Amino acid sequence: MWDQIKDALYQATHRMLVGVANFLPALLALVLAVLLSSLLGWLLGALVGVILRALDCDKRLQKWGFVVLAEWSPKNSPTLLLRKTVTWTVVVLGWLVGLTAFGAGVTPQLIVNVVESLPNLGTAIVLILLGVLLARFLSRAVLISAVNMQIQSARLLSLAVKWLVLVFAAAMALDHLRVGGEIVRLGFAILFGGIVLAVALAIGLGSKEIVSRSWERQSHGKDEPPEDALKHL
Amino acid sequence: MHDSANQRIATTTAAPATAEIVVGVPSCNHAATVAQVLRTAQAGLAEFFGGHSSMLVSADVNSTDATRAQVRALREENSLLRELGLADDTAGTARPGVEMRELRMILELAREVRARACLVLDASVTSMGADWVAQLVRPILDDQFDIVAPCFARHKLDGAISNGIVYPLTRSLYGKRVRQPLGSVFALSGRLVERFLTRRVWDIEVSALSADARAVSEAICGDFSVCQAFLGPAEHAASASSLDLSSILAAVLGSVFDEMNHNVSFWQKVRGSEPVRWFGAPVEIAGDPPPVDVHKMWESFRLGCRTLQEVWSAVLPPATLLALKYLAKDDAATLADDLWARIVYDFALGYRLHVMNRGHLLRALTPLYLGWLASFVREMSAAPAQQVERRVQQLSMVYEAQKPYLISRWRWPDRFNP
Repeated sequence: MWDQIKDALYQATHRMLVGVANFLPALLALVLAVLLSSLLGWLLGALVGVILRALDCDKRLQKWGFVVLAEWSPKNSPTLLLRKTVTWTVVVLGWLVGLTAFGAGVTPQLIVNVVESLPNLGTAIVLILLGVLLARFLSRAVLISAVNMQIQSARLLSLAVKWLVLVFAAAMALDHLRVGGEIVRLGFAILFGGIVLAVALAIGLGSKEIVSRSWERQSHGKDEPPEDALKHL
Repeated sequence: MHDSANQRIATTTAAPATAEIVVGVPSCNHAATVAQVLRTAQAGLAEFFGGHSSMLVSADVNSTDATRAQVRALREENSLLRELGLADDTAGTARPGVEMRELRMILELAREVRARACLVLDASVTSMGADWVAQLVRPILDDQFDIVAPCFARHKLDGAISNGIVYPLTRSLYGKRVRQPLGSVFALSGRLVERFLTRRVWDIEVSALSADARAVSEAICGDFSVCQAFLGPAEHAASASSLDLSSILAAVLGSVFDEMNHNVSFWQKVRGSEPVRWFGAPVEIAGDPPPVDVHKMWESFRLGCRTLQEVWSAVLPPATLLALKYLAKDDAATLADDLWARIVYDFALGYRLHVMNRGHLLRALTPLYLGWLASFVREMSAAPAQQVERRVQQLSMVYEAQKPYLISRWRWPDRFNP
């Protein structure tokens, strides 16, 4: 009886130790792959940054007319963008290598899934990026125009436009990834409707003076002199 | 000028081999006023330059209204009137800055007929007198000047963009005191016409509102002689004045800043300014100046200070932003001249560096301009016209005093970055 218990304990311990012995190198390989890829990514990113700065890439691109990024998002130079892309590509590759070493049976399927979904993921990322840039551009345009029209709730209007575009871009990206399904569409519709209502209220409340002045002018006829007849030119 | 473009220009009547004076009227949808301007120009030529060979030219490519029909009807009365247009089917398609093409056609014709003087008139002016032709052309024929800029009579507070930005800025940049660089009419000598065509001055896209400012600055940079002539008031029909203020500011300043980028090597060497010779006598405007709502302007400025800080922070240094914040707290503060001059210089630099979309940048200046204008009007509303003029000269001297700030920011833009 005692021998049987001892035997069972021995076998369990053996199996556990074998499991740990099998698991530890894979874990260490994962950690090592992630650490090495992070280091390599950082080094390669820095190298790309140095080379592009030495070539005066940002100014050259600006001279050649590639000013869209600088215009829409001045804090992100093309050099910085390329540097980050290189770094993160190497880090992601390191993770995939680490995961392959970690569980040979599971990971190849994971990698196949990841590779299969890469085009959709790429498109979704591009959609989000475009959405962010467009939101920034349009919200600034609306803010400046609204201030010049003396609409008191200019900032609110600008925020509303920004979030409209962002929500729209996010919904398109999620739909492209087939994440969420109907819930995303429903959520998008509710959010979109809410923002449109907020914009309508903001315009209504913020420009009520302009509207009332305009109505007054129309009701008094077109011959009424403008309140500010200064010639600026 | 490109050869292909030359081939596309069609004159409806054969031009004479030579003419001493060419008077050109570029137009685009000016049906209501073009005939009046052409008739007055013809009367001016007959009255003051009867002994000289002259040519009256209408240039129109893009009008979609009855402008060209008006010109054709006038040509039946006046066989000396020439009409320039394009031979191909691009006519009738509206494009920005299109009057520059008409301007180029007039200059090419002036070169072709070896004109000694080429007068360019504004087809939208409704108050032109026949004497304008004499006032603008005589300094070229009699005194050998190369460009004559107009100085229209106007109410003391009118022309605020010119008084507060364009005149002080061009004066401090180019060192010549041309009082109204945005005059919309000007006369050129034959050699300056040749220079403009050789240098393709109007090939760069330019707003029709500031072609004159470009002509003046190019002439100064090329070391041509400049003078100015007093004229009567200039009343314009719709078009330019129907634009909203921020669009006018964006169009005018965009061209002035482009010109500034184009002539960096010249203006960085200029220090101070010198007067430019006047012709004629100043014309007084009768009647009270138009009403101005200063409170509304100041409220626009305050709204801008509350909401546009993020946009302005891409252009203006922190000290300027802080000063603006303090100003906005007060109901009747004054935007100091040195602060205003530095703001305009900072925007010129922001335009050069492309810190954001250029249209956004120029439109974001509108509340600041209204803040300056409110300060100016508050100070000058009760002052006589001569005192207002002295105040504009004082502001211009501040622009000149602040020019080292512009030069240092232009050379080392990162040094001041927030």
